[in-house]
Amino acid sequence: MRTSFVFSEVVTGLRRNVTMTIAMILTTAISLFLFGVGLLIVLMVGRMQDDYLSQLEVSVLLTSEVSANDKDCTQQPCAGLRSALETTSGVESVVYENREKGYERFKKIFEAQPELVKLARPEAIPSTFRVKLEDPERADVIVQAFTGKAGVKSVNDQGQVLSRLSDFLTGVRDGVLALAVLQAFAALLLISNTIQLSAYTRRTEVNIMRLVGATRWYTQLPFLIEAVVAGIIGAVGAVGLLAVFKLFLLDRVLGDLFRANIFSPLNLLDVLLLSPVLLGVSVLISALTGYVTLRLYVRL
Amino acid sequence: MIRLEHVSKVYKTSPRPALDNVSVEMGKGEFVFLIGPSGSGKSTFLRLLLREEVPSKGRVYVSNFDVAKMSRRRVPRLRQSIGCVFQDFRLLTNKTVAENVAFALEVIGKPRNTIVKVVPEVLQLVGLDGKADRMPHELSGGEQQRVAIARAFVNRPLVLLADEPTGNLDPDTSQDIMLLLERINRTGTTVLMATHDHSIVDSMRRRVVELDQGRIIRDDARGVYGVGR
Repeated sequence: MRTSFVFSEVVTGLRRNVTMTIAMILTTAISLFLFGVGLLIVLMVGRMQDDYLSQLEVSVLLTSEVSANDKDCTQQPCAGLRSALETTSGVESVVYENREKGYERFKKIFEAQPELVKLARPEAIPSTFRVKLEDPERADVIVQAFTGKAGVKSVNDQGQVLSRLSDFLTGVRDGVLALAVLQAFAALLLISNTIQLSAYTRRTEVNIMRLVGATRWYTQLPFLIEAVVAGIIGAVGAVGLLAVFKLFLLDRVLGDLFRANIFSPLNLLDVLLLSPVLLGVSVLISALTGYVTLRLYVRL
Repeated sequence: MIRLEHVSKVYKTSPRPALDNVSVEMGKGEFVFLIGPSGSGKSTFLRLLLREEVPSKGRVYVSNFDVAKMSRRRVPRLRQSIGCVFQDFRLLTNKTVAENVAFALEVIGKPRNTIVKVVPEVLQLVGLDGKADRMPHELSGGEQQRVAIARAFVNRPLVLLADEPTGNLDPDTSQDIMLLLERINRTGTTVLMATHDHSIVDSMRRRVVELDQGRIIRDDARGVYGVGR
């Protein structure tokens, strides 16, 4: 196999159908970009769950009556609630935080907004049991068992907030991946079409090749490589788009949330780590499409 | 070298067979004219030898290839031992004379140094030395056909198939092309030429196989075109 020959055939082929080639590259790039966004979201959701799951707590807020009168949780119903929580199966630890401590924490959290701190009175902050679970996803048990008990104002499950957030992200991910699949389908058709066109514009060469006894591989390889080269360029474009997306859109829109540690941050390394995946997928799909097209539609 | 045994070919588009129980044998080094009116089956005959088509019935042998039965993978080997020339030359217009000839070797993976050596040799054989760097459109019809013959012959095929090679050429140029084909025939290559050209067939006095409606109606060892008309 003479590589210089195959290479020059590929270049001629791509140049001859330059508009189709560009369309093919663009659709491939967009499709892979959307696929990449989907993967980034998967990564983000996964990381978020890893980061937060271990820190999640269920907060059992006590009524203002208890909060005001029972600083050290020595009286009923507070002491009873505590031992009930401690003996519930699946509970890892129970920390009692009285009104003063709660107020301190509040002040610390909202340090940046002194006007908010000024407005808040310690009396508004309830005493709280901060309950850590062995399995944070089983918070329902605590919520159900303790809501409405004497001395309990309400039971908050932080996990619910997180799951709402990750539900939202999962929805976005599914939408983006569905778009990616649609785009991939369009890219597939374009690749197939371009190869057919390419084979048609070069039918004289191909006919001569067949007549002088060139093997099927020799005849088809330039077309296949054409598709793969377009796939590679498309994948590189997709990685570029992802980097731009991350730097100029994601960082700008979600930057505050990243810094506040609400969303687990993504960095450029994540995009870089995705690129071999995108490249592999692209090469595989374009080669496969090319091969099937040549088999089905082009008599070589 | 070429042998057909009870070969019939029926196309889906026509109820009448293109070839109807044809049996014929052509030896190594023979020069054979295949004549007959349009639609008599000449093209089908040639296409069967190249395995562009498979026969509906019967067997086809070229050299030691069982053409009808061979696997697709071996078809390139068959075609590498057959050279082809056409009425419309079929040159690559964007390549020079030498590149056109070299193309036939490149695509079957011949090494560069072989190509560099044999292309000028074959161009000299067909009388085109000095025109290696011309483009096809700069050449006359006869010269273009010489390029096509050079391309067909450069890999030293056992068989040369020529489908109306003089169809687009004036009589004098046609004579030159025939001389060239004779010269190639003298190297031991079997030449099978489909043609309508009376004067050429009559002047060459070679074997003539005449087809009509898919049947062989005449096979003369030293024939002319017009017998029985």
